[in-house]
Amino acid sequence: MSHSHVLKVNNLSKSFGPTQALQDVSLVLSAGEIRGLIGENGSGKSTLSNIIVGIIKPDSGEMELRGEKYQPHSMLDADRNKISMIVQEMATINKISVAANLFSGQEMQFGRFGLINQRRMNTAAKEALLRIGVDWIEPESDIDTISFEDRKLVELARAVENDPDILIVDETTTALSQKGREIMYRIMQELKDQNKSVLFISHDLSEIIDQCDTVTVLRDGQLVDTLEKEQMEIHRIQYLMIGRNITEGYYRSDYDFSHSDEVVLKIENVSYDQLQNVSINLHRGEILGIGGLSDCGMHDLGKIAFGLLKPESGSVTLPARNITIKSPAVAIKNKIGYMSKNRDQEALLLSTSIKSNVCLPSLDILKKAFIIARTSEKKLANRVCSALDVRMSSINQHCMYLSGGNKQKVVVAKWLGNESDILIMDCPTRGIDIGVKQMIYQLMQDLKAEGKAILMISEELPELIGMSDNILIMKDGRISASFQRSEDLTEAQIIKYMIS
Amino acid sequence: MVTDTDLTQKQKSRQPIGFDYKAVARYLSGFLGLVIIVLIFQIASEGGLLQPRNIRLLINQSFIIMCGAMGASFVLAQGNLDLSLGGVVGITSTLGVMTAKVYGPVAALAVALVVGLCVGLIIGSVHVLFKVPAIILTICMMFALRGITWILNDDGSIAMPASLAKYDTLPNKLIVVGIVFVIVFILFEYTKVGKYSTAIGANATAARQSGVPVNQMKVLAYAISGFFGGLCGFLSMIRAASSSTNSGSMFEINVLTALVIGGMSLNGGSGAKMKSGLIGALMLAIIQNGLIIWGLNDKWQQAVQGAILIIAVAISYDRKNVVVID
Amino acid sequence: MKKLIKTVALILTLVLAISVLLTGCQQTPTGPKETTTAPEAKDKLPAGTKIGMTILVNDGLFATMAQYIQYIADNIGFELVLDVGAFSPEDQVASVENLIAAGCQGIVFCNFSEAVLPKIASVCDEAEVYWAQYCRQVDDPEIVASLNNAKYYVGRCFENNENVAVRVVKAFEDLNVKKTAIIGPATGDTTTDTVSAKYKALCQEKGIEVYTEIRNAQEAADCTAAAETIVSNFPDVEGIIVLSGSTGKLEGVFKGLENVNKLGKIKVGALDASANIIEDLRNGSVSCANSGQFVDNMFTTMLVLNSVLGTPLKTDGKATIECEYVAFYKAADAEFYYAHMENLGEKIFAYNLDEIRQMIKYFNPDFSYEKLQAIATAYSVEDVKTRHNVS
Ligand SMILES: Nc1ncnc2c1ncn2[C@@H]1O[C@H](COP(=O)(O)OP(=O)(O)OP(=O)(O)O)[C@@H](O)[C@H]1O
Ligand SMILES: [Mg+2]
Repeated sequence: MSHSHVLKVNNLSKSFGPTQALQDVSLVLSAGEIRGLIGENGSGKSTLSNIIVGIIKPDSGEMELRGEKYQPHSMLDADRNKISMIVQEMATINKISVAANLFSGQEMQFGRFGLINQRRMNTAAKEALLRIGVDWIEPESDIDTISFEDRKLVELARAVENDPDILIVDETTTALSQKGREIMYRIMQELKDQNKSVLFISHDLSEIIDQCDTVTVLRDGQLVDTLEKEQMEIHRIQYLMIGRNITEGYYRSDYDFSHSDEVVLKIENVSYDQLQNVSINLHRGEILGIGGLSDCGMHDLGKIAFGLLKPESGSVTLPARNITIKSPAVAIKNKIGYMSKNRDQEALLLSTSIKSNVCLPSLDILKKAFIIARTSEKKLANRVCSALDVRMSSINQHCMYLSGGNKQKVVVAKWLGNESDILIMDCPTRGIDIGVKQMIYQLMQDLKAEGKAILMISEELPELIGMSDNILIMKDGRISASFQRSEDLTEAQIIKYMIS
Repeated sequence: MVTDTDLTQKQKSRQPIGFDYKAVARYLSGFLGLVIIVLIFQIASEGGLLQPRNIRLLINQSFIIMCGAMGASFVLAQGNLDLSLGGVVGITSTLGVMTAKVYGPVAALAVALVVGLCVGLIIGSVHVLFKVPAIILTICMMFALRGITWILNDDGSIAMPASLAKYDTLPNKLIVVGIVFVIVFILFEYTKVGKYSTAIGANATAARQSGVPVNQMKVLAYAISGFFGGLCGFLSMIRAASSSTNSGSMFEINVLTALVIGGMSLNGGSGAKMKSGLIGALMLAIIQNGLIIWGLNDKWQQAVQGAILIIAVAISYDRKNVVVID
Repeated sequence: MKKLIKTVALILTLVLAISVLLTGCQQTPTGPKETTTAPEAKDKLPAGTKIGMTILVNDGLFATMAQYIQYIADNIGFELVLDVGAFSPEDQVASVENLIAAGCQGIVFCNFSEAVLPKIASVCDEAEVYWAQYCRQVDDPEIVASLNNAKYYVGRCFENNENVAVRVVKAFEDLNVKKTAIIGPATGDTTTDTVSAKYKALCQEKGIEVYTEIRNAQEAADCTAAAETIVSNFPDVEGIIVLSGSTGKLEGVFKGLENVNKLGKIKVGALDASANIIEDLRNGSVSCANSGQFVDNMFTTMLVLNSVLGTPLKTDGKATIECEYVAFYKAADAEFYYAHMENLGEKIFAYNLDEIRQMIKYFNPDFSYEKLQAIATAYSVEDVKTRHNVS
């Protein structure tokens, strides 16, 4: 394995208005290297990778690719230079097919006389998907109809199809279930074996340590250090990221799974799509975890519980008040909150201020008579945003200018301000750094202590094991197993009910 | 564990400080178009534009459009359009005249408002229940209302009782615009109606997931638009002292033009600013009136008007809220 | 980038402002300056006379009117301010207000429908600006009464629209046309409504059938569609009367007839003339057209101008001037008309500048309301032939 330098980044700086997103960052990427990139939310990871693929132009600094000056003007330019990236947010184009997404921009390779041979393109797409080991996505299907995770895999297939010398993966694994992650890891290893390079961004320290040869840590836009494989150690990386030690583990330390017997949310015999007769009781003061593969139906279940999807049969009720949840408006009126996994498309108003986003579900609480005072909006927004340490220039900043993790914090902040009694959290810590993760977990415990109920849908087993009072595992639209909180519970015990 | 003091310290050190000059500039740029247009015509008309008498005239010519534009704010904030407004003005001014002849002005106003409201409710309900695209629906409604207006004005036009002419005064107009402004301003900036509407325009899916009753809000927005359209019908009846088969023709286009040159984003969302209607209607009146006082050859008028409109939009268009994919 | 766009926009505005200012400044001096250098000129009015005119559209008949008055204004020394495009009552009021704001002392006005007139009267009374209507009779007695009470209302000028129907019916009778239809713009327009009503009455009298009346044909394309509709629904139709031929409406009807292969076979009678009326008459596309009413607007201008100059033609009551259309049956009729009565290219008009001057008391103190009425009544092809010595 040769260690020739593929990409050299010299003294890159970038600021957005008053925010210094990147400051004097230099790094060297070698052929055959899997480089981890880690840092808190808003530390500049996406900014750095966006500069490398030409989405953003740096204020100063230069790049060298294979010894030559490299100044990409667009992602297409980067593609041509054999650099591909899987971005943090969703990048598929809605309303067209999977195949069209896979080959968007290169359709003409299937063209003749200006017409695209749809069948050939579909066949090629199928092959591309199979090449990365995905056999369950149909190339002809509309991209909107497939799950968030599958869309990410389409993006992955697209990147691999380009046969990149450098693959950048920006905070994608948290959008993937175990199966998807394994595909991801395998492809990274394959690239490495072909003497290609990977830049891998993640907040999951153990994943970084397992997968990467070296790891670079960013803090507040500056490069703090780069560690070799043998120097990698969880506490050391944490320290470099945050500048202080996180002394305890961040999950719950107690193993007390007790909660009130009062059922606050009753899901009865719900069927929808592949979901079949699922019944769940959520109790006061309970953290109920739901796990499974991404396509097991658990995400739909969350939506049904919030009234977003109308089940084909069965019902969602609040037994105490004898109310049926028919729409999100009814749900919110009855103090239910919901965090979607698909945050850019479903959970945030991107082109709207953080303040408006945070206050939107809470207007009924804020209003006096029918007037909503500016000051009370500001107060609420400031309170919840600082509680979650959202990194922003002000609460008037539009959400689209936030880093991925900070967007997620805004989503959480929204329901924190809403004072909900029941929270449905679909992948609540997606893309959030360890510091804030710990805060959110603490928050969940506080809410539990206050007697609120949480339905946590998650693809991360440690999170499920670490936080839930009870865990329900789903497979193919049915509940396949349930576990109670216990010190002895391991991932291996659970996984076997998710697959096969 | 992370402690509270840790947090606040972190908070402080990270909050970037700095005066957000861009936000101020953006706010002012909403008025820049108006200022420039006033300047151009003030110079071109050798001071004629801002003569007290001409200012009165500008108010005369813009106050109805102002009311219509403010009323349409909610529909636009939701990212929709209301192209039925001209039809609403046509039918309500005609019905207004007919009612005024028999039952007097108060009844005429009531009829105009109720009819406008009903039209809005119908549009909103059909849009929501049958998922008909709002643009097509409102265009159809416009034609239907125009047709009825034609039928009602079977002699071509109907004169308003002369006794009502006394209401056509400057103070009355200012009062009406003032009241509409206050109502719409409060609704738009300080109540759920406005906030929900901008949320729908920004991202309807996310708004729904945040508890916004999207369908109800859409119906409500069209009802508000129709209600104020009815008011405009009544006002234009008072102003023209008559109704005709052509009452309200082009009104929806004028309202839309006013909103756009006033800086309203047609995509809705937080680009929707309530003040756009006021500024834009005034700009429109100044352009039309200014070109005539200026005494420009009528062939040039159209071209110059087009050029000015383009520039006005370029200046006041709030690009910040538009996600451009490149 | 954003800054750049804003700067560019700013620069553009300034450039536009400056350039337009310069051209604007060049334009204004021409009129007044000449008069100041020759204040005593016998053939010019005193400087500073400004007349406004509202036209509904800027093409066809209205454009001819505007050009004729502009020609007169340039030569006898007053300023003309045009305002185009006011159909709805609100816009018509705004149009008059704007002309007043532009400093016009008199306004030549054409209403779309008549209920708006009392409002116009009150606006003009308040501003003390004289005004008169062209091409418009007023039917409603209440409105007539309110106009009669308006101090600054001078009067109106109109054609005998009923005679249009009379001539078309006569032409149809001569051609033995028995089955007909009507195409016209939206109801509410006084002129076309009158013609339509009279036509239907005459047809009933003479046993001519009116199959249908399609109104709301505002554009050429609507007229094409209307003609096609008529022919397909009533295949035996023999004649169509087209109310108003301006903005290509008549051509639209021809196109429709051509599409169904009936051009020339179905006879057409029209209120206005088409653009190529000579050709159209020659090949039989149209059998009877009525034109020449552009002078109506000139008579109205004379009424207003005399009042503005402090020498009103009629001091007791309001003026009503009626004139007749010029009818075309043959190509030769139209040929003569376009050579000697409405020749925009060579500036030969039914009334030349000297004759116009004689209609203004400033030049001709003996002129009177009765004389203007007599001139209008006499307006015809024969009249022009004798006055201008042509044949
Ligand atoms: N277009 C933009 N306009 C203004 N500020 C921006 C923009 N893009 C990024 N920022 C700011 O720059 C900083 C760095 O953002 P970046 O997206 O690189 O963070 P990140 O390390 O990827 O974080 P995360 O882990 O949350 O994805 C953040 O404070 C963010 O708010
Ligand atoms: Mg990021």
